Amino acid sequence: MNKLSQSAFAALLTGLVSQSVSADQTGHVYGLHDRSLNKVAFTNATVYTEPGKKIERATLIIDNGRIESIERGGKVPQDAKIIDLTGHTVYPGFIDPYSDYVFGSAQSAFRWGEPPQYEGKRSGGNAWNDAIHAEVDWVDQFKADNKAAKDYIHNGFTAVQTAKLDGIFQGQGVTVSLADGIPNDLVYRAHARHFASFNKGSSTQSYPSSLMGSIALIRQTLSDAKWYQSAKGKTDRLITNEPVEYNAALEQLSELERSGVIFNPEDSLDTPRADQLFDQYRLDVVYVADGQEYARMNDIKQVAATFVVPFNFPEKPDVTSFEAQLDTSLAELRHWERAPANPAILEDNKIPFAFTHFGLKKKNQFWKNVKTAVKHGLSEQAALAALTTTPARIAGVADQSGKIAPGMFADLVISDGNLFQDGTIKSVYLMGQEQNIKPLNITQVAGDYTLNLKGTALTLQLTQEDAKVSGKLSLSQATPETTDSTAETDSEEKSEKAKTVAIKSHGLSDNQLQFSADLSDLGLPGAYRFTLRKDKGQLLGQVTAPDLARLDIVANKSADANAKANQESTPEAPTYLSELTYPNRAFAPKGAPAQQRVHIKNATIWTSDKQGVLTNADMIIRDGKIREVGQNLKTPSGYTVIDGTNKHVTAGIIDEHSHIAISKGVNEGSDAITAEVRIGDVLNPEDINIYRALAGGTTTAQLLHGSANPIGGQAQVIKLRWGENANGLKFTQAPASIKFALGENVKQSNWGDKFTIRYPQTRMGVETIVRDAFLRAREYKQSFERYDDLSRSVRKTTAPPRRNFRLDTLNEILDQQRFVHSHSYVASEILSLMKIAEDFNFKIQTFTHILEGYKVADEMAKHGASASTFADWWAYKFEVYDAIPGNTCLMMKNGVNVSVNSDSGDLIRRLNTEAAKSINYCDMKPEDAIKMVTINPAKQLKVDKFTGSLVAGKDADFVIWNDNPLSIYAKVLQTWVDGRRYFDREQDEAMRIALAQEKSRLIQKALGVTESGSDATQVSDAATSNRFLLKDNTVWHCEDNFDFWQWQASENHTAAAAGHQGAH
Amino acid sequence: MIPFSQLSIKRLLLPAVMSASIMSSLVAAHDMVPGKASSATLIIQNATVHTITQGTQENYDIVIADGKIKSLGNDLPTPQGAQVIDATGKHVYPGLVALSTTLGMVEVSAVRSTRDTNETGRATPEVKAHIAFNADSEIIPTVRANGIAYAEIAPGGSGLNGQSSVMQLDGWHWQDALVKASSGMHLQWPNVGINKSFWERRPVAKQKADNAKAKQQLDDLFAALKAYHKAREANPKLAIDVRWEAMRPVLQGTTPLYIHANDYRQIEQAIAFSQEHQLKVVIVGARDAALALDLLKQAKVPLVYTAPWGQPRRSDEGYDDLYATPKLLAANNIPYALAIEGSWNVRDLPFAAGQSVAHGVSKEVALRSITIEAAKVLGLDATIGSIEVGKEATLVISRGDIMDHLTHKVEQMFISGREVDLDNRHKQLYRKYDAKAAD
Repeated sequence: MNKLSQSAFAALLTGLVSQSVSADQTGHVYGLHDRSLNKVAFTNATVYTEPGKKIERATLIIDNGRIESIERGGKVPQDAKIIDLTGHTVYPGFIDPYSDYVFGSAQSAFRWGEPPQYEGKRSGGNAWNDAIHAEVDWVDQFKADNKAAKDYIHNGFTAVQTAKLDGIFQGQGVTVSLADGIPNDLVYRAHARHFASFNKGSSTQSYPSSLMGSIALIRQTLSDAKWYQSAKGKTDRLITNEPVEYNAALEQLSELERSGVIFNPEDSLDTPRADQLFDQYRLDVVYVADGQEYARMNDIKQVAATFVVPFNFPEKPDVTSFEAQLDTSLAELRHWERAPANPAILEDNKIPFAFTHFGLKKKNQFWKNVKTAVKHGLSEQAALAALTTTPARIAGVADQSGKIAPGMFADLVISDGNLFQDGTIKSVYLMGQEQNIKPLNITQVAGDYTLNLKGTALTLQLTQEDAKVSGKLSLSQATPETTDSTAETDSEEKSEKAKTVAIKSHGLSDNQLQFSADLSDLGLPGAYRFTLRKDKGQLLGQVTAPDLARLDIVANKSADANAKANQESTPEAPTYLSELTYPNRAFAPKGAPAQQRVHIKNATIWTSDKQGVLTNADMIIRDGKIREVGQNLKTPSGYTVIDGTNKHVTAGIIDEHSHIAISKGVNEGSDAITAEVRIGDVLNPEDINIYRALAGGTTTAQLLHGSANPIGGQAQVIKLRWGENANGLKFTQAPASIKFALGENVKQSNWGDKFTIRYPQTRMGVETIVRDAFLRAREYKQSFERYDDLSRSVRKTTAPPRRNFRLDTLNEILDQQRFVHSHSYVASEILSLMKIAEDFNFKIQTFTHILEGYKVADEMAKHGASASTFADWWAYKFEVYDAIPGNTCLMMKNGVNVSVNSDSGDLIRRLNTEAAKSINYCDMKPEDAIKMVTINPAKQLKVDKFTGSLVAGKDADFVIWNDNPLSIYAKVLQTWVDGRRYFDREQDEAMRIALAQEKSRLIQKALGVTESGSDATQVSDAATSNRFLLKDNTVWHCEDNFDFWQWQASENHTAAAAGHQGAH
Repeated sequence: MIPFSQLSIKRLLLPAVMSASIMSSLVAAHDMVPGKASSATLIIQNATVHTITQGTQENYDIVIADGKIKSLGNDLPTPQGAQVIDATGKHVYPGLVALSTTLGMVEVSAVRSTRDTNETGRATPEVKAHIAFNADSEIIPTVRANGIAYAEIAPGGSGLNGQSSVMQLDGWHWQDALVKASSGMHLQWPNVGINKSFWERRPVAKQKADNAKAKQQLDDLFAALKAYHKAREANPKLAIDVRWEAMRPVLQGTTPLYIHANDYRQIEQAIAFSQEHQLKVVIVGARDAALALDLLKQAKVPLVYTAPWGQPRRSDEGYDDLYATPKLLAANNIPYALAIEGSWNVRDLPFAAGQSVAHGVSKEVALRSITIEAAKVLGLDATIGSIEVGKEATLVISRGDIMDHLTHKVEQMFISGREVDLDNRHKQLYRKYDAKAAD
C-alpha cells in the first residue's frame, strides 16, 4: 500500500460494488455475471447502533448492501475487506422524512393579469380541483438523481421519503435510498405517506384562494373520500340521476388510514388548524415544523403528533445602525436568540421529532446548526433519534434502516469523532456503497515541532484542517515551557514580532507534507523546500536548500499541543436575554390576567340599559360577572376598590364588523358562493390589532369574511382575550353567523377587465344566484330524507347522499340556526335580499354598511333586520354616493336597531367617537349613541344576554374612561373582559419601558457577536423567510380579495401590492 | 324678496329640525349657491372668540365690512345699518385651513373618470392642482359644513407630483375659488428601509437596491434641473421645457418644496437634501416626527403632521405613539400644522385637533394647528388663519367647542365676509327621507 492510499483503494472498491448493485435482477445480463465478494469488515469502531446504544471497539460486517453482524471485538471473516476505524464513530445512516428529492417543489404557473380560471383541468380520474393530486404514486416516476443526492449524502443522509411538493393533496410519497443504481433496487417503501399542505402550489384554479378555502377543501375532500367508498359504482337517484363518477383521487385517499400523512402547514400557527381536520378521521399525521414551535408550545403539545424539524435558524437581524434597527422588531430579535433552542424545547416537552434538510437554504449549514441546537440543550440521544429511528418510523422503513442491526440496510455514517460536538463526516455508506466525503485516515500533523537547520534551531508550528496544512517557522527561543495559555500567547506575540515566517504549504497527500518557506528573516537566506513524512511523533524527511543541496531533517514534536486542543470543546450553556411570551412579541402579556373581585366606586356609569346613565354610581364584579350596579354599594371584603371619581364606565365596545385576527386571506373570493369556509378556522390570536383594539375599549368583535361573493364564509364572534390561543378567543355562546354581500364588490365591478365571466355581474344576477343557492340547499336536504325512504333493493344501487358542507351551511340559515350579516349599500339590493329571505322563511339578521338604509328604514324595521353602518363614510365608490351621516338617526327613528362598526384596524380603536358623530350630524341622544357600540351590536350578534350592557349577571366586559366616552377628549384607562383586566394604560406605559430595555439588551447581544467577528456582514433575510411571524399583522378589508397562495408564490409584484388599498 | 343673506341667517338660528322642514321644498331643486358679497356691515356680538393669535376672548364682538375684519373688542358700538348676529354662548373661530387634500379633484375615488389627482409619469412638476378643481363637487359643501374654509389641494403620485393650490371652498369655479396658485411643489420622498409586511414580496437585497436607485434618480433629477436652471438664467432664449421650467421657482427658493416624508430616514434625508440644494421645504407626513425631534428643532422646517389617528407601522410601537406625537412636537416648541389627507374625510379636521388634545396638546395649540400654523405653511398667515383686524372675514360660528363631537355644531360661516350656505347633499338627502318617514 505504499503508492495506493487507503482512500484511493476504497474508491476503487466503491466502483466495484456499485457495478454489482446496479445489475438488473429480472432482466438480461449483458457480458459477464458479477460474483465478486462485497463483504466489508469495519474494525475498532465506536458504533452507535441506535440512539442511546453504543458499542466500543466494535466489528461491523456488511455484505451485499446489508448489515451482517455487529459485535464488540467481533471476529473478522476471511472473505472480508478490512477497514480499520480506530478513532472513528459509526452511526446509522440518516433519513430525511420530508424531501422533494428527484421531484422538486411547486413552481407557481400563475401570471398576474391572467383571467381567472374557475374550472379544473380534468384528465384520467383526477379530482375536480387542480390542487388535489392524491392519485399520483410518486414511486412511478422515481429514478436516482446523483446530483441532488450529493447535498444529502454530505450531511450523512442515506434515505429520504420524497414526493413532489406541490398542491394540497400532493400524492403518495416514496421512501428511497439516496444511493446510485436502478430505481428498482433503491426503493425502500414504494407507498409511503401521502404528502399534503394548505398551499395549492402550481394550480392556477381560483379555488381555493385563501387558507380558510384550503381548509374547507380538505374538509370536503376527506369527507368525499369516505363517501366514495360507499358510492362508487352506484347511481345518484336522489338529485341528478347520474351514475357516480370514477374518481382516482378519492379512491387513493381512502387509504390514508393505512399510509398516514405528512403535512406541511408552512407555519406553526397552522398546525393545530390542520390537526383539527385530520383528527376526526384518526389519521396518523406528521407535521413539518416551522421553527417557532417553542413559542406556541401549548398548542403544539395538544396536536400530539410527531414533527419534522427544519434547521433554518434565522440570521442575525440587522441592528448595525439606528436606521437599520427601525426595521427590526423585538419579535425578530427574540426569535433570533431562541430559535436554536426549538429542538431542545420539543425534547423537553416529550414531542417526538425528526430532522429534515427541507427549508434550509444553505445545506452546508446543516451540521453547524445541529451542533448549535445541541449547545442550546438538545441531547445527543434525541438528536440521533431525530436523524435515524424517528424518521425511519415516519418514512415507514423502521425495519430496514435507521439502526445498525443485522439484516438492516448497510446505511452508515462514519465520522472522526462525536458528530454532535466536534466530529465531521468522513464517509457515508448507502446500501453498502461508499461515498467518500473526506479521506478516512488522514495523517494528523498539527502541532509544534523543533528542528535544526544548518545549525539554526527552528520552531515549526503547524495547523491542519483535513488535508489543508498551514503554519509558520520561527527561531527557537529559550523561553521556559509553560502550560498557562495566556503566558504562552504573550511570549508568542513577542517572538512573532521578532522573527516568524509563514510556510507555503503545498499540501498533505499520502502522509507526505510538502511546503516551502523563505527563511531570510531567520538568518538563512533564500527559499527552502521541505518534504516530510510523519513517523510516530516526528516528521522526517529532507529539505532542499536554495543551493539545491538536500539535507536530512528531523522535526520533533513539542509536548503541549494536544493539551491545547482539548480545551476548546467545552459547550457553553446558552443564556437568554429575551422574554418568552404568548404571542412572542412586544405587548404580549406574561400570562392571562387574573379574574378579579372589584368594586368600582363613584363613577358615571353608562349602563346601556333601563337604568340609563348613573352618576356617582358603583359596580361590583366577581367571577367574571357583574354582580351589582347601583349607588352607594358596600364593598364586600376582599374586593379591590377602584375609585371612579371623575371617571366614566361603559360596557365593553362591540364591533359588528371586523377583519382583525385573521390569517392568510379574508376573502375566499373565488366562487360566488363559499358558505363552507370558516373564519373560525383561521383565527390569528397573535395579531397585535387585538391589543390595540382593547386599548380603544373594544371587547367583542364579529370577524367577518370579506365581501367578494354574494354568499361568503362563516363568521366568528370573538372576545378580545389577548394572550389566549385561537380557541380561547372564541365567544362560544355566540350563535353561528355568516357573511353575505351585495353590490359592486360581488359583481366584480372594480376588479379589473379580466373579471367579467363569473356569474353574477349584475345586481339581477346577485339576486338570482342567492335564490338558486337556497333552492339547492333545500333539494340537498330532501335527498337525505328521500334516501332514508328508499327500499333496501333500490338503496343497494343508489349512491348515498354526499355530504356537502356548503349546502349544510345554507340549511343552517334556513333552519334559523345561523344568522345572516349582509354587506349592502343601495336600497334596491336591500329590498331584494329581504324578499328572498321572506320567500324562504327566514330573516336577515343585520345589514352591514347599509349606507342607504335610511332610504328603506321602515321596510327594514318591518322585516326585522338590524343595521350596522359606518358613521360618516361616503364617496369612495359609486354605490356609496348617497351615503349620509344621518343614516343612523333615520334608521333608529324608524325602529331599526342600529350600530356603527369599524371594518378597519383603525376605527376599531375608536368606535366611541364614531358613535359620537351621530350626535354631531343628526342630534342623536348621547345615551343612544353609546348604545350603538354596546348593546345594539350585542343584539345583532345575539350575545346581548351575555354582554353589551352593565347589568347584574352579565359578563364583566367594561371600559373605564377618563372623560365622557363620547367626547373626543376621552381616553380609555382600562378595558376588562370577563372580569380580567386586559388593558391598563398605566401598565402599558410600564410595559413599554421594559420592552425597550429588553430590545436594547438583545441589540447589544447582537452587536457583541458582531464585534467578535463571526458574521459581521451577515444581515437578516427574515423579511422574506419569516414573513408571517415577524411582520406586523395584516389588517384586512372587505375588499382585500386576492389569491393568497398565488401571491405567496409570486415575487416582485409591487404593482399588485398597491392593490391593497382596500375600500369597503 | 328677502335678501339671501338674511334668509340664511334666520334659517340657521332655528332649531335644526324646524329649519329642515322649512327648507325641504327649496332644496329639492337647488344646489348651494355661493355667497354674495354684501356691502352691508355686520357685527357678531357677545361671542367667545378664538382669535388664535390674541387668545380666547369672552363676550367679544367682531365687526365685518368689505370682506375684512374691521374691529374687535368688548361691547363695540353697532355700526349704523349693520346686520347683527347675536352669538351669545357661541364660539367663533377663524375658518379652518385644510392641508394636503384632493378636494374638488376627485369625486368618487373608485370611478376612474372622476379622479383627476395623478398625472402619468414620475416627474410631473408642471401640473397645477387648481386646473382640475371642480367647485361643484358634492364633497366640498360637506367639508365646509364642519368649519373648513380653505383647502390646499395637491396632485398625487409617487414622485415629483406637481403644484398645489389654495382654494376657498365657496366659489363658482376654480378661478373664483383660487386663493393662491402654485403654493407648493409636491415631492413624494423615495422609500427607505425594509418593508417586512406580507404585501412586500421583494427580498431585502432587492428592496435596498430599489431604495438606493430611487434616491439616485432623485439626485440625478435635481442635478439636471440645476443645469437647466443655470442655462436658462444665462440664456433666456433657450427653448423652454415645461417640466423643468416649473421647477425653477423651487430652485430659486420662491416656491416651497412640499416633501412627503414619514419615516425617520426620509425626514433626515429630506432635511439634508433641502440644505444641500438650499431649498425652501415643508415636511408633510412626519409619522416618525417623534424620532426626529432634535433634527426638526434645528432645521426649523415647517411641518404638516398627517397622522392624528395614525396606526403604528412597526410592531414595537405603542398603540398611541402617533396620537401623542403632536404633544411631543408642542413640548419641544416645534410648530406644526395638522392635516388629514384625502377628500370627503377632511371634514374630520376639527376632531383631529381634538384628538391631539386628548393626547396631551393644549386646546390653543390644537386650534393653531388647523388655523394659523396651516396658514403659515401656505404663506397666507398675513390674511387668514386667525381673527385679527385687517384679516379676511373668514369666520365660523359654532354652538360649542368645534373640536369635540359632543359640542361641535357649525351654524354660520363667512368666507371673506360672504356668508356660506351650509347646506349640502347629506342634509338634503336627510330631509328627503325624513319626509318619507313622516308619511
